[in-house]
Amino acid sequence: MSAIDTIKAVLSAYIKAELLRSKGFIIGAFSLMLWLVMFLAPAVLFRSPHISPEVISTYALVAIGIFVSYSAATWDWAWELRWLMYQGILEHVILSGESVFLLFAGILPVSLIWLTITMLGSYAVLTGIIAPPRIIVAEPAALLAGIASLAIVLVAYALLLGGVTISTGTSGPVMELIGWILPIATGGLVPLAALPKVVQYVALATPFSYPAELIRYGLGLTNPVLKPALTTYIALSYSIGFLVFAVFFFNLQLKKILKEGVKTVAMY
Amino acid sequence: MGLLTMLRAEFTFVYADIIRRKSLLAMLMIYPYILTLFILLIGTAMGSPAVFIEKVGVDPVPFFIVSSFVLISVLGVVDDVLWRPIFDEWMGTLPYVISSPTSRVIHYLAIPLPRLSLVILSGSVSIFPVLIYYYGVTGLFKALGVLGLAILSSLLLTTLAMVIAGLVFTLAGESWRILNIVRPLLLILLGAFYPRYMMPLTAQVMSWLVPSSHTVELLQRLLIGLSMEATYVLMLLGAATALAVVYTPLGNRAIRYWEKKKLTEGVST
Repeated sequence: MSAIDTIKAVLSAYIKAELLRSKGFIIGAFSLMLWLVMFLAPAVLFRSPHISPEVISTYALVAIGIFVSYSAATWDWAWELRWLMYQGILEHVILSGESVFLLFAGILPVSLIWLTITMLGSYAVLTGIIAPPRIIVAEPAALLAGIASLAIVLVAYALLLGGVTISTGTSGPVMELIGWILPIATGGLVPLAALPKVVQYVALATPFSYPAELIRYGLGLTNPVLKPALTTYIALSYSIGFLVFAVFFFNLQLKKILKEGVKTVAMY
Repeated sequence: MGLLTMLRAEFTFVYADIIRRKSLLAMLMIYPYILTLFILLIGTAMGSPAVFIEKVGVDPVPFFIVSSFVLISVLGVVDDVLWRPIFDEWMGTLPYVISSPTSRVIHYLAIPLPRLSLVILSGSVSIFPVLIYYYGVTGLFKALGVLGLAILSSLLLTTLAMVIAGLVFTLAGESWRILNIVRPLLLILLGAFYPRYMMPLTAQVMSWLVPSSHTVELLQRLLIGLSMEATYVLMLLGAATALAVVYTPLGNRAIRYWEKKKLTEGVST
């Protein structure tokens, strides 16, 4: 079976299972809408009448976009490995000799469809709760660099998390915690400039903050704390370096479970 | 096997798990802070805490630390009931659970209690320091009241969780997807993050059907310092208890339906 055939087979299986059989997309999107209502409704209680609701809504949409991208990387990719362990399939995947990366490549279009649906749904929820988000591309190059570096960082993040999962059988809470903390602590939800200095320094030390800064700058919302050109340069080079490290780490963990066997997974 | 034996088994299971995987324990303690931070960050990006104080009548930090703690308490307890059949199926233990002579109803009543004991630990590191910092000695009493009401809220939701678990698993199989709709809906109607008196009327009516929404309202009144007339307090407590009692036979029946279905159709492994 060629690599393309493997990717096609994975994609076909997931579309049939998630979209057609279990209606996972529809149910998942509906679930996300409810979670958004739960967390955005109280945030609306802070809304000052002096700030344009459209601007607030746009900030919220960007924050949601970054948050759900982290969710996709955590639950679609990293969690997929844990799911394979649950079902006793991971051993077969490894023994088949096919790369686990092909599995991710097959899932990627499914994740992108999911992200599109959730962003459209989020747009609808924000329109209903606050106002229609105002999307203006002010700096196209910065926006593109932001989206590209975010994608690279998220793949690397998923590989790191997935690597830890397969080698330790680590638990869901750890993933949930990381999935919450990272976007909060690295300026994914709120512009870095609005965070305390200490948090800014911590965020800038990680590769996660730069893509979010660029996306907001590209949409004309806020200026990054560093100069835009420098932010772009660091975003791209840091994300690529991070990906190289993550691939190396993930392969190391795969070798480890070939020696030690697949771990058992716990209830949570 | 009686309730006491089941309780002992569940306590052993939960505490062995907690001691073995301390990340779970850490999460229980950290989560109220993370949720609070999450909402405060989004909220302050949307406006200012002063606007919140004007609208709700209390500082957002104590309000959301209490809301987040209630959410974690309720989830920590109710999730056990809602998710246990799914995890049992994933781990391959469901056939043994179903074929054991233990009453499923006793089992599901025993499930939430060990986690309830952990709620106290979670509260002692979240609501106590924050409320004492904000309100001094009064904060200590407020925190005690909040802790008691949060425990009560979690307990009172157990029977409704049994109804939901039984119905969902009977009608849709052990589906975590359906639960992912039911959980946030239940939490919205609980009114912990968005007080139910600010909800639209339809949502308010639906919220009244959730036993713990009444105790959560009581808890918020305590925090905000609204008038606590004895008759109103008793009415809220009475409504919450009555609903939980009404859901008990329904939960019992729903769990039995699910068990019967499993016995008839078999368990997927």
